[in-house]
Amino acid sequence: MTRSRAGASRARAAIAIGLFNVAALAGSAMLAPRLGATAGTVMLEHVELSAPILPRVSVLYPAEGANFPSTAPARADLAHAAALTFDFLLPACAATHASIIVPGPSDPPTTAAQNAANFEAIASCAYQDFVSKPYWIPALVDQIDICGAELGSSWHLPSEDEVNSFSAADEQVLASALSTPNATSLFGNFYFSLHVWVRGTNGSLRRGDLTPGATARVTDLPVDAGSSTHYESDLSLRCIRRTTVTP
Amino acid sequence: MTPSCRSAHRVVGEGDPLEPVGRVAQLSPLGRATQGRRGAADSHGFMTTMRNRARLALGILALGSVVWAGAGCGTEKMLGSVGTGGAPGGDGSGGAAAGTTGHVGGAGGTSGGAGGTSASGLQFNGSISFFRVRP
Repeated sequence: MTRSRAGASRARAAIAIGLFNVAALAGSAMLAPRLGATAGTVMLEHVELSAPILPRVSVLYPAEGANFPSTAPARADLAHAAALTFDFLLPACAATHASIIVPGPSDPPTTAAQNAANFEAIASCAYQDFVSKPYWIPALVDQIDICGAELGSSWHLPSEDEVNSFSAADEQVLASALSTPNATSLFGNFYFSLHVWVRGTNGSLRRGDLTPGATARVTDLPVDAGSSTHYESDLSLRCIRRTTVTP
Repeated sequence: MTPSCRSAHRVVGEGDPLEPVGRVAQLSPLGRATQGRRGAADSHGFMTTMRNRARLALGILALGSVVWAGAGCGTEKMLGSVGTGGAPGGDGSGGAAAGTTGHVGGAGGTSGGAGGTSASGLQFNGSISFFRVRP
């Protein structure tokens, strides 16, 4: 058998095995993949939905309304000064919250249960220690690329199409990860919200609902996206990153 | 990752030297990096590679499968900081024996398994992740 024919044979075998396993996993709510429209072509991607970027309202509120910055750079500075990311909160909160587990260089990675406990501790810490609530100023979310600035250029605000592309299984993964034992009862429970800011197909800022079974996933924002006053809701500023996995 | 390691990336093919490095251990519900048990001293941590995570998600790489790594080195940071102090990892993780369905070797060869202690010390970045077929 020539090398090319051998390669083709291996490829067919791999696809066959892959499809066999895809079928075997079809009933799995956790990882059930969907086949693409093109027979024999399966493009995989890794989807990441970030932890919420929370604003420190002690920074945000004094700069709203009449004090809202008049220039884009100043608004970007305000957003950055207010933004609390998970990467910042994890070590910052670990200093005062002994329950937070940060693995050392030689430690095994944290388990799912430890991650859930960290979520809860960080949610409480963000609220109690850093005076954060999810109340971003719409104009900042609309006009400043907070995701790119805080998490890196590979991250962006979820688009309407992306929210609508989530399957029921995808949404269940999100909901399960956020269903920690005390998610609804502790201070900072807004940390676990699956209501998110979304960039609409027409470019407008919209509201997304990633809750499993939501009837309308993307709806109009109840307030003016140009508002320079903070918006009190449970909308989380979560970012998304999608990475194609080359077969 | 050093340039020499990057240049070593390739598709592992027939005749390439392979060495067993461990077994797939777990895939957590939060979608964090999977963790391979310590295998050869210079190439455990391979399961941080994205391609193997995808394979695992699709069931191509079954739990408990023996995973092989070619010679070479390289690291890949999936979630947060990678630990330090380890020896270089394998150059991709080659194919995997997927249960009784046969050998799927030769299809691997991605950007290298994290080396040394790099599977340890990974910090969860708070995101929720999963694999799916691209819409």
